[in-house]
Amino acid sequence: MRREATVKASLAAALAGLVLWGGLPLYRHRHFGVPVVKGPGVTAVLKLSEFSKGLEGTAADTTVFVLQGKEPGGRALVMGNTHASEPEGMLTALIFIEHAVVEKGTLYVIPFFNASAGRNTRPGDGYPLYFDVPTEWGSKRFRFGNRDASPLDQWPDPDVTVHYPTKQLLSYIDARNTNRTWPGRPGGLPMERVTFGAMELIRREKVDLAIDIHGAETMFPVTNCIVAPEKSVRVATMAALTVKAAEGFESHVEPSPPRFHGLSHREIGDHSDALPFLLEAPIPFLDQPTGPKTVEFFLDGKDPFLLSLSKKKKLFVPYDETGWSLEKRVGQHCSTTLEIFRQFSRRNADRALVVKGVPRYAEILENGVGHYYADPSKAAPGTVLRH
Amino acid sequence: MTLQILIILAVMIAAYALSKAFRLSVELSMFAAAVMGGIAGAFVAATPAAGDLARHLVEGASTYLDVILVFFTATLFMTIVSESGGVSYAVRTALRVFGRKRLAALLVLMVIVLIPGALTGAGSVSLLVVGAPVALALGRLGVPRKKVAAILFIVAGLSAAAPPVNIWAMILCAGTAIPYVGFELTLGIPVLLLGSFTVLVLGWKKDPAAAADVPDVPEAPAGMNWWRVLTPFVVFFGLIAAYRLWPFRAPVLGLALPFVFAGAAALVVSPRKIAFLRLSRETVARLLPLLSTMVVVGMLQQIMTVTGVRGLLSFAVISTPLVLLFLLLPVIIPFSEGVLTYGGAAIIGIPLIWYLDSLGFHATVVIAGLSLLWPLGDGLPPTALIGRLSNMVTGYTGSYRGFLASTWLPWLVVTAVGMLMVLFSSRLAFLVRWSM
Amino acid sequence: MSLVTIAYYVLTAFLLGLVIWNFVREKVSRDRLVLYLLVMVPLILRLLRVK
Repeated sequence: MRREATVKASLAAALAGLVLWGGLPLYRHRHFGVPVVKGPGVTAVLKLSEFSKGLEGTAADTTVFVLQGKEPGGRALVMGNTHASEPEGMLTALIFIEHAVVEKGTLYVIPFFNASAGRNTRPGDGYPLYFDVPTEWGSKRFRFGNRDASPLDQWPDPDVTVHYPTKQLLSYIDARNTNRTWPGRPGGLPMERVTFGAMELIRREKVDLAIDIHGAETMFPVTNCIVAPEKSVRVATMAALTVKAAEGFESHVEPSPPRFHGLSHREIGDHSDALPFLLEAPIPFLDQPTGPKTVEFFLDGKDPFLLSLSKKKKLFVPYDETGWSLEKRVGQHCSTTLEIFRQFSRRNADRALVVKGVPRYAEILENGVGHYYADPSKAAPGTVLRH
Repeated sequence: MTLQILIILAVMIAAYALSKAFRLSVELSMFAAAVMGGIAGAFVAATPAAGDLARHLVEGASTYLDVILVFFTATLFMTIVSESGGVSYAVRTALRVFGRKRLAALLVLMVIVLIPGALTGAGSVSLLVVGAPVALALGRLGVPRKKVAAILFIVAGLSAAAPPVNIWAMILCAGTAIPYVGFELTLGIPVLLLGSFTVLVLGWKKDPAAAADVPDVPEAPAGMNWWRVLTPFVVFFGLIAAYRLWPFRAPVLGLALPFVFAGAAALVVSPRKIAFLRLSRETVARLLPLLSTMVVVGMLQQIMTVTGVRGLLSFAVISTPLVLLFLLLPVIIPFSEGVLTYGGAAIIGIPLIWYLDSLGFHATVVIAGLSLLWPLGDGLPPTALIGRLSNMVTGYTGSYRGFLASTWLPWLVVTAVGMLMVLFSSRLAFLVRWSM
Repeated sequence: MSLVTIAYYVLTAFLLGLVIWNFVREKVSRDRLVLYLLVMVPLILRLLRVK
């Protein structure tokens, strides 16, 4: 009897040890704050809950950085971390927040669009908890998030997700995917409230351009592209042609399927006057047939299995020994975003948006992504937010 | 890199084999494989970092938490229905009404097995809740025990693939950004045809000797009637249907909570007093292998990914030439399920669907076709989840290999239908259109 | 937190309670003891709002 009790007690102690040892890093990850340094162009900082009251006080609420120009003009919204496992969008958004100076028009930037997903990890997929981007002053640490919001912030999932308002059926997990819950509704599930907040911002502030920045697997057919609905195709095509001719990288235009609902590139255009664009750059790290999921692989995008598959023509993007680095991915996003602004402004002089100070593809390739992040410990008081 | 990953894979296989040799359960052997794989990874390739091993294990353990809750609540619900005499009542009535019409009796029993799995996406729920009385009923119809186990295994597998909830299809749709729509007829028609084929092929021949030693389906308690049997199901379907009919007004209850409400209704209408806490504890004890499998598979999946083993396996599948791939799929798909349960769909399925989609195959039909093959793997070791359960509820104690061999004809036909759906997916696209 | 979410936490706690109860009462097999502990892992992590 005593022996049995001892066995049980030691086993229970082992369990407590495992839960503590394994659980603490997950707890710390959820509560880790990424420092965001406000650049000279930031004129206001809002919360998304100002546009969607249901988000107030929840972990799904997120920060909106406003960069207002001296002259009136067009308005654009840039979103990163819609899928927090594709952090290139967030990294691009942070470069805009630190460096963009708007001369004409207004820029709204939401770097952590699905804030809950950014504090979630992807069970079963063995991702690192953080990644460090090298900078001149050391390295800047970011959380590696998940594609979907945390069940700690939205639980349970429905048996099948029913898209509002079309009633199209989607996978159960898509209820926590903020690129399936557009246009959202004020009293819906937390992720519907997030997209509703963005829709309200777009409608109330009369936003002209909405750019949702993602990344995709090299084996995913829709990668390295600008996804655009009919109303955005002209601007998207001109932007794609220009970056190819002037900056030497490919980003073709993919039409937004009219009957696939819940995606930003479909619903923003259908429920507002804004022109939506969804940018994709290849993230080899997300592919299934790869080696270990290490931070190094995330940063350099080099993998021998993908290289072999590329030679067998099984990838949707050109891929060689140089991989597909973070610099390339973020560089593409910065240039394509700026080019979309430019092409729109050329056609709509009264709604022109002029943004200066943001590096383009070649500069980021040369200097690295970390070059564009200031040391938060040396930033002026009041300019650092933790998210 | 490949060599390092192969070493880690070898360590995992050795850990598994050694654990089995020491007579540890399948679940513990898989746990040992995960832990040793993680340690090997830390030593051989520094992935995962040794300090990060526990994080990967507990994170992986959380992968299927919701599935665990559904398994628990669904089984508890059906156990209450069974304990109240509802299942015996339904099966006895089916036997009484259709007893002399063998065809109808077999088909009705097949549909009874299909329902719980179709609703929950888990064949195990079918077996745990209606398996035992249906096995008795089939025995009374003169079907030998081994064939009863074979019927239950195949039909329970089909029930998991049946609409509305098909976990493999949901995983693939979520991972490939394809909407989870258009599966009702695309899956419903083949499941019904294959279920009928299975129950008729294995159950048509009557063996009077087999019927002789089978106890009668237990008597239903006095006061049991159709109203009492059906009320809990009306509650369950009502809640599920309410969300489908008024999705923007009804609260999102998930799958587990409707089972809780249905279980409460079953408790209220039961003519027998039910010791709820005792029943709950017994249900957890009975479900332990299934629940722990879901935890351990998540851990294993996570360790395999972080060490690159999963990527290597996925790479091997994708780099196989197309014709050879089609020849191998009937083997690879069930085996991936046998090793990883639902994890196989994520590891092999997602890149496979993208690859076939890019070649012009119709993704929805391909997913439907493949999801007929995955449940077959639930009869294969190491997990053999549904195979072991079908033996358990039938009371079949003969050799496991003999049981598997007896499934050969429906196994082949299910495989053929699944593969034909993959190969001719474009021509079958009309099923998707008709479903929408 | 919505009522439905609270119900899910209660359900998780109930299942954890049953698993602990069975663990304490288990006499037959050490295999089963370990399996009960493994099943507790995701339940504890969710109740502590870690994962």
